[in-house]
Amino acid sequence: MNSYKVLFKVQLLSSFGFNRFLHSRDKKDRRNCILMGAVYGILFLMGTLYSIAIAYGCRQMGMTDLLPSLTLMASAVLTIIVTFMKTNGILFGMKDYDMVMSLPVSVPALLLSRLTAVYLMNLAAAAIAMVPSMIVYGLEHPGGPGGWFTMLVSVFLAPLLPMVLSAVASTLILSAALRFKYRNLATILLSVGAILLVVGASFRMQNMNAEDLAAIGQAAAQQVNAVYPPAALLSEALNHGSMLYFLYFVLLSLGSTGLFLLLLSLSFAKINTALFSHHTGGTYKMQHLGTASPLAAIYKKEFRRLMSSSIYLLNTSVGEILLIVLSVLFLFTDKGQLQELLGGYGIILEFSRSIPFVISLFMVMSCTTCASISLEGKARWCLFTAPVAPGTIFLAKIGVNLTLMLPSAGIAGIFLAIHFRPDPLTGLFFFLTPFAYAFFTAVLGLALDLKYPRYDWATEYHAVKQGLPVLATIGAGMLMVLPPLAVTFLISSWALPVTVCFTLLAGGGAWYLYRRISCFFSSNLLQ
Amino acid sequence: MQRQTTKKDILVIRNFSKSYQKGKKAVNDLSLSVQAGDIYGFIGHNGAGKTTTIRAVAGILEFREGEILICGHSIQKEPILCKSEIAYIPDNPDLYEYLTGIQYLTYIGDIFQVSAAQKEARIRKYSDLLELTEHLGDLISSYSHGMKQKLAIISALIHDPRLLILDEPFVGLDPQASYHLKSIMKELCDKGSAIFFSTHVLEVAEKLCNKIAIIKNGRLIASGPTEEVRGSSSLEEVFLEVAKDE
Repeated sequence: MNSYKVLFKVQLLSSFGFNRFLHSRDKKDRRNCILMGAVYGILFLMGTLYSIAIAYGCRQMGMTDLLPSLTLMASAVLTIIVTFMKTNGILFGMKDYDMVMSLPVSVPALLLSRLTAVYLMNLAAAAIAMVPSMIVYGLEHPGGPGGWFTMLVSVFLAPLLPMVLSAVASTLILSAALRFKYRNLATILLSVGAILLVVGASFRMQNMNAEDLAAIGQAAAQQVNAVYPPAALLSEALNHGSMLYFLYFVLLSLGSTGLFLLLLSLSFAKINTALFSHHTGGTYKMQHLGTASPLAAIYKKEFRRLMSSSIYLLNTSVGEILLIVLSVLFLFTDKGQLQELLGGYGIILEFSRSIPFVISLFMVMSCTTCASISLEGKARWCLFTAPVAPGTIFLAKIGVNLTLMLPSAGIAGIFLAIHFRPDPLTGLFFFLTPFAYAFFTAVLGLALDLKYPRYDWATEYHAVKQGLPVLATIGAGMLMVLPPLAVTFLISSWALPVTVCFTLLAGGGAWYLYRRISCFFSSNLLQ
Repeated sequence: MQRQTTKKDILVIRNFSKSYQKGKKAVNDLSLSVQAGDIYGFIGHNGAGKTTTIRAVAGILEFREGEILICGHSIQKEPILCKSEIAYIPDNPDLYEYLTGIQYLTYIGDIFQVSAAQKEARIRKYSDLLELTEHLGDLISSYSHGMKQKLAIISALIHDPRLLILDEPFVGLDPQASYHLKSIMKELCDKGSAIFFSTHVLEVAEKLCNKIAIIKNGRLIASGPTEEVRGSSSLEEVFLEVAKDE
């Protein structure tokens, strides 16, 4: 237990920049940590407000009975995504593997310390999703101290089972990929397959025949209970005050976690050993070598960087994958059905006018540049001693981001234009607006990573997911997309001017930012 | 301030100082010059300021006090021009582990805009010499420390640098590779280039270098031709003596 405490403490200190904040003498470093904390705080606040709004909305519609199932499911989905993205890098392939495994600590203690850090992050997500709803539910259905206790415990237990399910999926994918020579590519393909499976399943769940919102809520809760049995257990425990069902829920959550720890501790060393064993041919013979310009050389290097890391690629291209899936689904969906469904709720039917911002929403979620400087890590001396202008490096990094963004935006634009058949001018903005946002996101991400780089990461995950530039880029992108998306969706007469304005704003912003960083780093990356 | 450099000056460091937190000077008013053909050893205890100086010369450490000229050009004002003349190998060569050895060397060759023929010839020559050729198709992540060191050495020689800057180059190299590196260093200097390197291995510095500088607590306490610095004693004795005196 002592070793678990020590390992967990170190794990916690290495996450979220706690230790840098506590001990760094560099003021800039401490300021970055405070900024990072502020970004997390804002995200937490926004999530909580959103959750309160949903809980309040359910109460207004008399649907509080459904809250336990729906919020538990929402928490489970969040947990599955967070854990899936984190497992590879926290449990496997970590840089300190050799050092930690040489210490006199048990594998279960090590695993538990790593999983606890993931659990705490998931607990925050579960608290955002569940606490406001549970308070609303508790006020509507007074169950006494026992009821409140059940709800409190359920919040703490909610992340466990989905965390285990996601970690199992991630472990299986990694184990399967180890059998291939190109294991990174195999990991990426299998992970994308898993994401598509989850997206496909959720689309199937939404395909319900219901006539009003309350009926949709009921049907959704029934489907959730069917798909995710713990939701049914908690729903029964709270709605009918059944301690037996609650006990089942507790046993299922704790039992699955214990079993996972036990099984993983048996194969942990084997998987990691395989991960760190590299294929060495030792049979290379010199061949004719071509030449490339410095820009092309850096672009190729950056592209290989992206393709070499499943963490980097999956976290930065998930937006493009979802966009393509969404646009393909629209391509094969009958327009009349959609109009009928949306019209039934009095929603403005000129949905096509919002499409430029719907595509742009996926652009701002997919930024490779916001981690591209940090990911240079300890090898950054190679770039810093290279006799090339910083502008060349910037163009190469932006180019890689656009290589992912522009084709997916183009494909989505074509498919959605086929589905919605917009007028020519609106159709033109199906492409112009996402392209402008793609440039804006790529340049903003790069600018922020140049300003707040984090080179001392222990796992790529810290640079790709926890970096301040990553969160700030996505946050700023959302602020640039969501207001015009809402306006064009609700007020069709304003759609075109708003679209033109924000397209110009995004394009102009990208140009301005690029000029600023090019001038600031005119001859040297050191500033 | 004197701004003249002689024709043969490859590296000139004038009054270079670098402060870190709370005004503590890592390097204080350091001046030295390295001429064509020099193998210049830079020695000092841990934390003396060797790596700080070397990183500033390589253009990867920003500084405000003093001046560093490479082939007559300021590393601060004309960094790209200066960097095209130098090659730097850090003490622990962290390379792009996701590339294969040959991909990395091709990348460096392209960055320095070396022609295909020259790139191929130099890679062939040095990778054969350091016995790395057959591993060039493997990912760098699969390399041992010594193999990474060899790859970094080959990459530093691809563009035939005027100034080779090395930070502890012999750490991790096997005896055979150390021997070849010393030969390469001598060959480069015979062609008119210069080498500026830090080391803890005083025997190597004594045998290999024609000039030596000793740094302690950020200050240069002895510099000049090896024979003059050493006098009648061994370099080890001189080093221990000056370290004790200061």
